[in-house]
Amino acid sequence: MKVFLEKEGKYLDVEFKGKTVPDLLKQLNLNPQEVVVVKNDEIVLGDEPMSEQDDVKILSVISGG
Amino acid sequence: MFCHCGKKAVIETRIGPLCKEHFVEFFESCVFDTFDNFELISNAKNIGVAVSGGKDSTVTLYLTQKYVENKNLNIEIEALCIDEGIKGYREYTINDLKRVCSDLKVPLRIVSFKQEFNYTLDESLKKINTKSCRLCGIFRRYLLNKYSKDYDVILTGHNLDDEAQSFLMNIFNANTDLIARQGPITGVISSSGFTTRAKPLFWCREKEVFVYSLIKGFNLRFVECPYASSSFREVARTFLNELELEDINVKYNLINYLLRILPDLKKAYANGEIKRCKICGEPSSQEICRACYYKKQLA
Repeated sequence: MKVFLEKEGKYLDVEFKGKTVPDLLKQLNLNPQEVVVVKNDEIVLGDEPMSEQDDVKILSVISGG
Repeated sequence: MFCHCGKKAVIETRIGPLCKEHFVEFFESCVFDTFDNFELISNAKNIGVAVSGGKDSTVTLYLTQKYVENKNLNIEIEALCIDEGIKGYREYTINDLKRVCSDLKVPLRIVSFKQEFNYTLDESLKKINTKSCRLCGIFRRYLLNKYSKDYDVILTGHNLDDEAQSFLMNIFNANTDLIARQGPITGVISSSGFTTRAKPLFWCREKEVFVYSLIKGFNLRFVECPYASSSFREVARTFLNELELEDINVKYNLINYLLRILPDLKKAYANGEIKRCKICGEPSSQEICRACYYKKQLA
């Protein structure tokens, strides 16, 4: 799965082992309070299923200042 | 995860998961209730909003204007930006800010370190041996105070996370006097040298502010300050966000507790005396304020 990490400004190739948004964040060691996951241009959370074909962006909630 | 209306939720809040429409409604009432309950701008005719081009100050500006229009208040709003002169960072956020202010038709005033101190922050740090965030904070607060004197109140974009982090940091540092200055309206001593500062996003979690700015399409880019580094605030933020995984009300409860003890603290520190800096005449806890101390080193 290709995941765009906004904070780092780069794409990651992730061998996704789970099924849902929390699974992905856990795998990437990210706190769900500090990021927003956007799948195919929609904000997603909770038990939303994720698949290899999805366009996934992870946006940082915390300001850069 | 679904909203109570059956639509897909975009965020979990303290009242449960909410869809876009219900979240916008919840978020805006939260901000408007803060204006009402704490009388943030009652009797004000001129309001300044401290802005940076980031999500918090942009949302503050947008919702202040919306509140003033909804209530049909006769209040002038101006956006005030402090440009520190940080290459590769501030020029981008100022571009976003100019676009937002132009869209909202709010006049924007930009005050820069360069114009005030003859040096940008980048240049100052080559001449003064101190931590970047310390120098930046001292100069920023100095300019914000100096240039907000024309306003009856200056609004800032501090959110619930900022407030909870500050509270925790002040507890760990035993800074009771700094806790006394916290709250939706800052300060303990009324003085002609200080313009009242107020925080409309006081009850909004940082994630909520971010999601609201996304839904509203403010199109603010993520740019990281090159001086951003590990700090005590970051440790407090991580700690609180980890606690919030267990209980979404952690920051909310912490701030409710702060509000319970705040009246007594404000009373206890209300009789302090505010001195004036011998050089610039601005309020200062010492004979010469820190801004003038560093300005002398730059000269």
